[in-house]
Amino acid sequence: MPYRSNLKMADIRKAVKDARARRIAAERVGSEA
Amino acid sequence: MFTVMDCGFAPRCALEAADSAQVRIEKIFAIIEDSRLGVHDISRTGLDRVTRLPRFNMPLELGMFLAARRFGDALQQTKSCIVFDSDSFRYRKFISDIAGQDVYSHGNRPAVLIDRLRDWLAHHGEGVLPGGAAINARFEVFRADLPAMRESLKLNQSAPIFKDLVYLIRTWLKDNAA
Repeated sequence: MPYRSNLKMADIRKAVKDARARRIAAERVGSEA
Repeated sequence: MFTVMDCGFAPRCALEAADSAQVRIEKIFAIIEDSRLGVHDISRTGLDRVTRLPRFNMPLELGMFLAARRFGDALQQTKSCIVFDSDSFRYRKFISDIAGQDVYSHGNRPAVLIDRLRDWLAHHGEGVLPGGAAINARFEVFRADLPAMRESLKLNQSAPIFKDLVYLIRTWLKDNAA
């Protein structure tokens, strides 16, 4: 990319992983209900 | 932006220029010069709520792209672009000179835009692209994840910065590979 984010990549990776984990947990609860 | 990246292309945008010391129009010229393909959505060419004047940045940038293709060197003349509007033929009422270009209606529906943009990119890229339905399904999941990601990154909920969004989408696509 010819430009850089102002955010730290480690923070972006953590945000993406946390959102995914939260979604999967919510789907699991939904399927068990 | 999501579709462009899911199809393996790197998005460039006038919004890159927001925090640059370079004169904005020069930055946009540079982005257009660097870009073989152009995606122009003129559906937001409405009246500004405060000034009641039309917002013309998108049509201006489309004109710059067409001029680069028309007057540029051999490489610039290989450029190709697609134009989207909300309704078929609406553009004839405010920018009729672009008749003859590829202008597609998306009806303000993201799924339609994704599908048409994907098909157009498939003609201009290499390799097999995911189908429009698959991209749209991933986009919906990304949209659902976005509030949590913004909260985690302490991003302003109403005004994501283009560059941050690009890196967020890229990381999300890697983490949620098809």
